[in-house]
Amino acid sequence: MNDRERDIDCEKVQQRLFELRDGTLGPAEIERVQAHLKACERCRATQAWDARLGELLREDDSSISPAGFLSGVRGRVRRHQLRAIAIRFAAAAAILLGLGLAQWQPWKAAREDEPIAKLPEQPPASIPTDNLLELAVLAEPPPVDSFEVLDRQQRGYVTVMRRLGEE
Amino acid sequence: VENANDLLRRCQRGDEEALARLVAMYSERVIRLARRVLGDAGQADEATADAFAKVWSKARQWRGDAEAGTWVYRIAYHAILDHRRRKRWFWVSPPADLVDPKPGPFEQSARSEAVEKSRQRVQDAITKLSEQERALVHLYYFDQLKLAEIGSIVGLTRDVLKMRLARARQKLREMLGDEDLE
Repeated sequence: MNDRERDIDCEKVQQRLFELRDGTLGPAEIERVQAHLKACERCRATQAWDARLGELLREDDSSISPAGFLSGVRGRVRRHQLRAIAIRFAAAAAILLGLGLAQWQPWKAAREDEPIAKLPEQPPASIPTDNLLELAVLAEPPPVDSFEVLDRQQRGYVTVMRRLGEE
Repeated sequence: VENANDLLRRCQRGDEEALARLVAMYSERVIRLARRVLGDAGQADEATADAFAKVWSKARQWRGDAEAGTWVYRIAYHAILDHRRRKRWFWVSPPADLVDPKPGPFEQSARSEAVEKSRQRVQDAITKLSEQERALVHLYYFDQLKLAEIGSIVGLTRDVLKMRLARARQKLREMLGDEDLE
């Protein structure tokens, strides 16, 4: 085995060490790795180094007290719930606004207000003066639509009749 | 004995008491991971609180395909990395010294000086790894999780995970020297 082949093999074996600890290698593979470890001092050193690193890290005996920590979590959960409610309200408001706009359609109403075409101006009605019958029609009092006007009109007639009687 | 799967199912139904129990069950592990990755005790506490708030809000997404503990850890891992990115977005903080929760004077005297020195060297070296590598080192060496579980937490295939772990180990060995760790 030359150095290069040995390096490749070592690289593979050093990756297999993770699985060896895991217990996920098959029996044949375990045998191959063990045989390599027996013969290769460098890989044995890596295996020992791995074990020592794990021990050193696990020697971390500092205390962690998550006692007051739950209130922080609860505060965040509350904020999350409030945000969810606010989002629901905003979504409902947006839907209502959309529906309202769809019903109202102000852009359509504005168009309807615009005149489609100008109506031609009516020519002034000519008053026929040579036809007596038509003159009699014109002499009739115009239709009134107010009681006050009607009252004044009636009082005027009475006054005229009185004066005619006096004469 | 309460089962984490049952607790997570109760969280899905909006049971806050179940969340409190999940927090009690996993917070220490999550805080340690957060401290390892973030290197700051205050930030680690915040990130862990964020992580459990996410566990609560995402509980309904859990379909039972992974163990509840693995799922909680996965949410926590991503929350911790998100926390790091968010902090970076706001300000560039100086490289954090890994807190590796410092022992008190009494604890320190109880340990041999050599071991303490080695521990400190290891912590310093871990600080120089990428955030993902720090997490991988913690999950594999400290938590002693199986590769399948680590892969599920960080979202890597087995082969990629082995490569990254091997690379992290190689970097640490280069920084710490090849001699045995005392």
